Amino acid sequence: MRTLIIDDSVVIRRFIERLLRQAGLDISELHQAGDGIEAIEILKTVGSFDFIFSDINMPGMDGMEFLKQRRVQHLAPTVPIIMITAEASETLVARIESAGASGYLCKPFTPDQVKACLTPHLSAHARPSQGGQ
Amino acid sequence: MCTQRGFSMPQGTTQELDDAVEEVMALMFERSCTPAAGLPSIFPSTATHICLSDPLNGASSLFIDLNLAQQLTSDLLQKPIPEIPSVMVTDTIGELCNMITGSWKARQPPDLALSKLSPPMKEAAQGRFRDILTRAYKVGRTTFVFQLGFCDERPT
Repeated sequence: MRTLIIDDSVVIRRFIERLLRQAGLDISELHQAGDGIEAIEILKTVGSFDFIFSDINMPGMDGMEFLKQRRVQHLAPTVPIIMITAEASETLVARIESAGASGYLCKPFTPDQVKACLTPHLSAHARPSQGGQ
Repeated sequence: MCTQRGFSMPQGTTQELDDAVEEVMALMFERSCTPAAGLPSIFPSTATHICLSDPLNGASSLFIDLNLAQQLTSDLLQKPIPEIPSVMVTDTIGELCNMITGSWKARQPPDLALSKLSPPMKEAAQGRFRDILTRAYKVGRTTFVFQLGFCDERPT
């Protein structure tokens, strides 16, 4: 799977990468961006992905603005985007959904939660095996 | 933070903070963490701070021993401590403070849970803090301190 992780925290980017692998997902290509601006550039140059994970609260272009810019610029329109936040309130979740994200993960999260969030968007052959690893 | 009288902290704050800390330490770092009896006479020297604003105004602060911060970073990255640059340790402390604050905030009633969090900051937030909750937590033999302060106006 081609995956893009957007987070200003390098530690969290590495952590998400580790959880994806622990969830049993085959990450063939991984790109990372520190904010929405960098992510938009990556989408323009690299093209499409199987999944995008984006933090919401970032300096520079935040996750909600990234969703808007992706839509406005017609970049990777069908790619599922999972938003990551440490502060999921009902209002924020509604904003995330109306902005076009496919789902969200609330930090802290586990490999099982990552798997549950991704599974509806995976083709049958790409689904992780039971129990991951 | 400085204290003044006259502000009521949201009910249940202590238990909610304990639950938030326990959850974050378990899920992110797979570590057991329990409230410590009393507070250390000297707070750990490494600190990070986050501002809360609208409608709940205040700030959170994490004071942590550098060795524990390095160990937690090592846990997250699954790398030995000597291979971890200090910027990553700073990053981890900021994320830890962010997640604890976010997890505590998520336990608040819907109107208060709307409050926004700033990115982690090195400098303590400035404001007229009316009520402050300070708790110490033990991870193994090491203690870290987490503080939640509340004020009437948005801190800077």
